[in-house]
Amino acid sequence: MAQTEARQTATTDTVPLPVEMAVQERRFNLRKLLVVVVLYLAAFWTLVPMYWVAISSIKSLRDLAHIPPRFFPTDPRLDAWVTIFERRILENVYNSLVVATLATIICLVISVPAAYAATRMRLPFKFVAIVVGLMGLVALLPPIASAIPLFLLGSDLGIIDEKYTLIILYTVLNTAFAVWVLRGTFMDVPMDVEEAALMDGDTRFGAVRRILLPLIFPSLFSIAILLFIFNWNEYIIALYFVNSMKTMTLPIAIQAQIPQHELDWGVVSAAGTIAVFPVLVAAFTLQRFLVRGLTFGVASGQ
Amino acid sequence: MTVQQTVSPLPGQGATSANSVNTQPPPPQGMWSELFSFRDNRLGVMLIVPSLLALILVQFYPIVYNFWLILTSEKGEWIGLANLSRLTRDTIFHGALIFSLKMGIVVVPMCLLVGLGLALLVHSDYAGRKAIWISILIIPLMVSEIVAGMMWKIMYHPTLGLVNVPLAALGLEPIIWLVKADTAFIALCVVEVWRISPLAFLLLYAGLNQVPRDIYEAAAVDGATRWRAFWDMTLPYIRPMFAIATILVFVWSTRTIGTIAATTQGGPGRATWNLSWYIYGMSFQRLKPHYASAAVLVMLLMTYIAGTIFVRYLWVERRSR
Amino acid sequence: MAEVRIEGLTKYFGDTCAVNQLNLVVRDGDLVVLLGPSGCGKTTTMRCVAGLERPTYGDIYIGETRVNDLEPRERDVALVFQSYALYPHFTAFDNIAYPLRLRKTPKDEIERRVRDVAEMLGITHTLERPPGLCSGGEQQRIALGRAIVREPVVFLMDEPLSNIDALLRVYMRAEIKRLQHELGTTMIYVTHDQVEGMTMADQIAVMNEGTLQQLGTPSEIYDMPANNFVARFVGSTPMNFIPGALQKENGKTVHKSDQFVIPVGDEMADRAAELCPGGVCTLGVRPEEIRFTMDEEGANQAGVFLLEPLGSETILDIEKEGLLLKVKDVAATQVREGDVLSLSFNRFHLFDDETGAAIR
Repeated sequence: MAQTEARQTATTDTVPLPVEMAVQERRFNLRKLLVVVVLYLAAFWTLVPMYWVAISSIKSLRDLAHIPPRFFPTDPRLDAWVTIFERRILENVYNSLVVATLATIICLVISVPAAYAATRMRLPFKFVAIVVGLMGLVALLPPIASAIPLFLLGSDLGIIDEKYTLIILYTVLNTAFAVWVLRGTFMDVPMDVEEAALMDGDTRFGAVRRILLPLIFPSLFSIAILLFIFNWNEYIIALYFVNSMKTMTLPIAIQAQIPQHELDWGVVSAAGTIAVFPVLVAAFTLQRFLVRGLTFGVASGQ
Repeated sequence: MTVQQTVSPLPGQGATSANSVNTQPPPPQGMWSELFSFRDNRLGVMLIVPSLLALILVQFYPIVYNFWLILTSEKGEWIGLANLSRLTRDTIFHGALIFSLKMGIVVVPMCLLVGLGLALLVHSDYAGRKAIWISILIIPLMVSEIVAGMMWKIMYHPTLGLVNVPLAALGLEPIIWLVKADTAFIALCVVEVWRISPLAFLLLYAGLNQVPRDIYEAAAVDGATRWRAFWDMTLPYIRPMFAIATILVFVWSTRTIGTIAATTQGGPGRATWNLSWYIYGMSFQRLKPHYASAAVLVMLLMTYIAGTIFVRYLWVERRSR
Repeated sequence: MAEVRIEGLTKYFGDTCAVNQLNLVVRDGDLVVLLGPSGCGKTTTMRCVAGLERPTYGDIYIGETRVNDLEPRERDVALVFQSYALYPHFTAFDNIAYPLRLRKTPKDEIERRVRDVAEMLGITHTLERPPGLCSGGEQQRIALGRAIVREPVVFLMDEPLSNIDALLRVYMRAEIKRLQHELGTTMIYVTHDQVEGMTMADQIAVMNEGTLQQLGTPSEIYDMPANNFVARFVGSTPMNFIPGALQKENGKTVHKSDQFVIPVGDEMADRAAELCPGGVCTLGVRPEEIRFTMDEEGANQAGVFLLEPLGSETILDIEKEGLLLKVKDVAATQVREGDVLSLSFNRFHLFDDETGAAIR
C-alpha cells in the first residue's frame, strides 16, 4: 500500500498510470477540485480588500461615483497618488523606515544574547524557566496597558514626539517576543555541533560566529523581517507619542487621511497601498519560517 | 534517576576506590549561589540582563505605576479605591467590557473554525504549492490594524464598497453597515475574523505538521475511516496547539483598537466602544489617565488569566509528553 | 599522550545525581571503555573530561594538569559525537581542516594533513562534498578524521558507532582500535554495547546509576564479575541466575534452590560463610558453563522447551518449575525440544542477595 502510494506520487506527472490507478486518480480529482475551489475562495476573501484599496487609489472620480462600483477601473488616474505625495507621505514613510529598522536592529542586539544564554549556557534550569516564562507572559501584555504610564513618564521627561523615544519603546515592546521566538530557533540547532567546535579548539564566541550564526542566519533574517513588520504597523504607542509631522509614522498618517464623509477615498487608498506593500513581500519571504518557527518557537517544550 | 545504593563496587575492585562509596555528597545548594559561582554562569546572566532590564523598565515599571495611578486622582491626590468603585458604576465602561466580551465570543470560535478549516485544506494532499497558499492566507496577519480597518471601511462604503454589490444583485436594499449598532457589530466581527483567523490558521497548520504521518497509516491498517482518524488521531494531537491558538486569538481580539479607529470611531453613539478604545478615549481624549488605568487593570486581569493558561499549556502539557 | 585521572567525580543536574564519586585512572596509551546502560552516567563522565560539563565535586587531571577550570579548547582533547556533529555548512574538507585552521596551521600543511587523514580513513572522494551528501559511514569517518587530524593528547568517543549499520560497525570497531594502537593515543570510549566494549577495550569500566561497578580487562569483567549487575550486563547470551540459599547437606555445602541442588566447592563455601553469613545468595552461571547429559537418571533434571540454532552453536532454552535457563550447546548434540536433560554446573558465581556483590 505504502509502496504503491510512493510510486504514484513519484510518477503522476511523467509516466502513464495503470488503468486501475487512473480510475483511483479520477475519483481523487473530485475531492481535489473541492479543496482547490475552497482555497481559491479563501484567497479571494483574503486578497479582495487589498485589491479594492489598490484600484480605488487609481480610480477616476467618475469611477468612484459609479453605482454599482466597478471591479476594474475604466479610466485609471494617478491623481490620488500625486495628492498623497503632495501631502508629504514620503516623510511618513521615512519616519516609519527609520524607526522600524533601528528598533529591529537594537531589539535583535539585546535579545539574541539573551536567547543564546537561555538555551546554550547551561544556566540553572529554574532560572531559565523563570526568565523564559516571564518573557512569554510579557509578550502577551497588550501594548495599551503600558501606554498610559509610559506616556505620563514621557511627558515628565519631555521626550514625547521624538523619534528616538519611539525607537526605544518599539525595541523593548518586542524584546520579550523576540527572545521567545529566538530561543525556539536556537533549540532547533543541535547543541553538539557547537560543542564540537569548542572541542576542536574554538572559543565560545568563535563557535557562535563561525558555526551557530551561519546555521541560524535564515531564521534570524526571518525574525528580523517579522519584527520590522510589527514596528512598521505599530499604531497604539504611536497614537500616544506622535504629535507632529516630525515623528508621524505611516499608520498615524493613514488614520489622518481617512475621510469621514466625502468621496475622497483615493488618497487614503494610495497611502494604504504604500503601507501594505512591504507586508506582501514579507508574507512570501516569511511563510516557511512562520510555520517552522511557530512549531519550534511558540510551541517548543521546556 | 535516583542512585540506588544496593549495588556498589567492592573495595579493591575500582581503580582507586573511595572508602565512602555509600555516602553521597549533597546536591549543590540553591539556585542563586549556583548562578553566581561560575565564571560561565556569570557571563550567561550578563547576556540576559540587558533584555531583562529593558523589560523591567518598559513593561513592569508601567504596571507598577499603573497601580499608583489607580489609587490617585488626576490631581495626584490619594483617593484609595475610588477610581475602581467609580468604574463599577460607569455604564460606558460596562458597555465597552460587554462589547469586548461579546466580540470575543463571536470572533474566537469563528477564527478557530476558519483557521482549522483552512489549515486542514492546505495540509491535505490535494493542495499543491502549499507555500503559495500559506503566503497568501497569512497576509492579513501582517497588515496594520489601521490599514485593515481602512480597507474594510471602503469595502463597507454604501457606494464605493464591494460588500453591498451581492446584496444589490439579489435585489435587496443596500445596508449602510457602520451607522447602526447591530450591523456595525457584525461588520467589525467580519473585519476581526479577516484579520485574526490567519493566526489560528498558521498555528493550527504548524500543529498539523507535527502529527506524524505513520499514525494515519497505522489507523488505516487498524480499519479507521478518514473521519475516525481525524477524531481519534488529529484532534488529540493538535489539542495543545488549539488551546494556544484560542488564547492568542482571544488576546488579539481584545486589544483591537486600530480597526475601530479606522471604521466606526466607537460609533454610532458609543455602540462600538471596546475596552482598548475606552482606555484610549478616557486617557487621551478625555485626559483622565488615572481613571483609565483602572480599566487597564481589568484588561491586565483578563490577559493574566489567558496568559496563565497559555504558560501552563506550554510548560506542563508539553513536558508531560 | 597523557594519563587521565578522575578523582571523586560527582555531577549533579539540579537535584539529580548523574555521576557519584567516580574514581578512575586511564593509563597513558590505553583504550578504556565506559560501559553501561543508558542513563548510567558514562556520557556525563566523558563530557566532564571534555570540559563540556563542570564537575559538581571532584577533580580531573590530564597528564599532571588539573583541568577543572580549563575551557575545552585548552585541554587538547578530541571528541567524536554520537550524532557526529559535523558542520553542515562546511565541506568535508573544511570540517576536518577546522581544528587546524583554529590553530593557525600553515595552509599547505593543513592541505597535506587533511589529505593524509582522509586517505587513512578512505574518504578522499568525499572531501569536496558537504556532509549532508555523504552516507552515514562516510559522515562517521569524517567525524573521526576531524578528531585525528589535530593529534590530540586524548580521544573521547561518545558511542560513535551506534548510528551505522551492523556490518560496518563490526568493521569500524576494528578500524578504530587499529588507529588507536597506531597513534598510541589515550582513548576513552563510551558505549552501551557490551560486545563493542569487550572487543575494543584494554580496560572496561562498567557503570550503573552513576557509580563505577567494576574496572578490569575484558576477561576479568567476563570471568570475575564483581557483582550481579556486571554479571548480567556483560555477555551476549546473558548469565543464568538461580535464586536460593547455601545449606549443609551431608557435611558438604550446597546451593539449594526450588529447582536444583548444586554442590559448592569447599574454598568457596568458606568464603561464603565469611562474607555472607545468612547464606541467602543467587547462583550465576554462564550458558557455556552448564554441562548436560541425555540420561534420565542424574540429579538436576530439566526439560528443553525451545531450540535457538545460531549456526555455529545452539542455545537450548530449558525450563524447570518456572525457572528459565539458557544453555549453550557447542557440540551440536542431537537434543530436541521436549527432551529431558540432566545438568551439571561447571563454573559458577555466587552473589549476595543483600548487596549484589560477588562472593569470592
